[in-house]
Amino acid sequence: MNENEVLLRLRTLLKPRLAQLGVAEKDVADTLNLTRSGVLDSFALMDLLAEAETAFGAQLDLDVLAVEDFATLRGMARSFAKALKP
Amino acid sequence: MAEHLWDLFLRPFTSTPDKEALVLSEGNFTYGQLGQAALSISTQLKAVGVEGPFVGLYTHRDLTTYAGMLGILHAGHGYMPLHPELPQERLAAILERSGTRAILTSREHADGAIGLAERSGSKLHVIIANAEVKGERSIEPCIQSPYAYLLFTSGSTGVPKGVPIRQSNVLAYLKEMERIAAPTATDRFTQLFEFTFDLSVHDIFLCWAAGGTLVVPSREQLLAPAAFVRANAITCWFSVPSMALLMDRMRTLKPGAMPTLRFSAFCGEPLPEDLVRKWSAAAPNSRVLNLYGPTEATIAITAHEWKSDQERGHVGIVSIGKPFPSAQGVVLNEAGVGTEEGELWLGGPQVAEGYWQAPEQTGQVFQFLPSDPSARYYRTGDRVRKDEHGNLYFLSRTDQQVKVRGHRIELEEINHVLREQGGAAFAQTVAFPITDGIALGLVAFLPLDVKDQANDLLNACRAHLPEHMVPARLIFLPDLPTNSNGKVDRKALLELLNSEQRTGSNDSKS
Repeated sequence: MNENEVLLRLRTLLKPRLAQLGVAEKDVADTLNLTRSGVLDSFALMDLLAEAETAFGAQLDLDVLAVEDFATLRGMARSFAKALKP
Repeated sequence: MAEHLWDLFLRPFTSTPDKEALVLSEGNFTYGQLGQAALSISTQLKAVGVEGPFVGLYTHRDLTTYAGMLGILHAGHGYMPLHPELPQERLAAILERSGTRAILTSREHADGAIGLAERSGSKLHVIIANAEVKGERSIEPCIQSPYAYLLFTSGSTGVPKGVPIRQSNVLAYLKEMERIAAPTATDRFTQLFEFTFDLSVHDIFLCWAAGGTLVVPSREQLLAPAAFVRANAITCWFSVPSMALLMDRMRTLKPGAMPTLRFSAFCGEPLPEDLVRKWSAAAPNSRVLNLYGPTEATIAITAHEWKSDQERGHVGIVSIGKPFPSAQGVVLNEAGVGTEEGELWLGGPQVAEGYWQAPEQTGQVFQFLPSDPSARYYRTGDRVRKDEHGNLYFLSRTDQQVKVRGHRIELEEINHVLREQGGAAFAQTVAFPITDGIALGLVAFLPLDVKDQANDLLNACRAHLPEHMVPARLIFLPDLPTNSNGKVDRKALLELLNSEQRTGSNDSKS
């Protein structure tokens, strides 16, 4: 799976969360910091990451990654694509 | 002995003014700077001549929040947190209920505070804090206010309940906690709890009373809490177990990950034993304390220190321990007779005077002991079991209250909004899923005929309820299942969700 395919899948996972929060999908840019912008709180973001890890069968090390590598959809996609590389 | 929270802060303010008191995203502040900022706010409040016992505080995790709390206390009031991210509708309801005449805010949140004041019909002063950290203001004694703060909790009638907490209530708690945690000026405390949660009072005043440093993480630092602990050399941790659970889920609770911690406390939810074992390995130099207490009994009122070699807890959940020595806790059955398993009643200096201007609600749960009409207790609604050593174990609720991430939620308040504002003929909300006794989310069951109004129903919730009370899912049914008594069969609703989870199907999804 390449970065853009991962990104599309991440958007699918984010969708029901945005629906609950009443946030329009188009308002969430790929580069938007999801917690700094207040779209997701830290619990919700970590929950999304955990769901994505299960979906992709890959793990991210939050202790090592920079925040931008998992707090934006683009960063998340990049990190997962990297982790998925054979 | 200190009689006011301000007096606790005054000691390090005057004796160690150059010591770091507060670490924020916007900068670090010494006791001297924080104290000066508090005094300048107090001067502002006195100049306006604010009336009434409470002043609203419409800020969020900035200098004005912390200096504002101190300034309000110094000026002779209790503070009432108004979280800017809560729906304005709810904040307006809280303001009206409280009778508060003034809102203190920061420049950043001034527009929101003015909007809120205009929305609430009554005349309100909006004071934009001038938190000057420089200067040599003379330190006048604080004006004595009986109250420390007024917090609102979820109410089953659809209106939040105000819990006024006196300075004496908080001081009684801090005295117990100082004995247990023995904080010193070298300690660095986390400040993870929102100030709408009374557990934040533990962080703030236990730290400042000892002359320690309070470290407030940014939203981003909250994403990697273990790294935050290491980078800031945190020694005292306090959070809901949910946060440790998420850290475990993201594998950041690695053995030895948080060596600087010496004291870890958890409160607000059941604490799973497996989790505490992992925590203890991640923080090998730390004692681990499980605390329990409703807002009505001030922060926490029972404590249990976890030891790796001790007897197993009840169904894998750590005991909430025994009431503090200065507090009273009795377990009573429905007839009001002492028992091993029943409702926990709490008494002593930490128990609040009742709900704010709500005598009927107060009378329902602040009651005299059946066996001793001179002792006024708070009925927690928590069913507990007492073991042979006197340690208490939380079992369940006697009503429909649930906890999500430590937030106390009356499910009936959500149902009320769905019915009254959303126009649904019936509404039943349940906490789901529940892992190790910790509720992770909410699901609402609604009639089929409002299925196409799902968005309106959720919007109604968002307009009236805090985010953690908005259901994650709506499920539409022709009717609610009932049991043999004709009551809604909540077990059947939960079974529906459980079986769906087992089979992985999601057919009933909205």
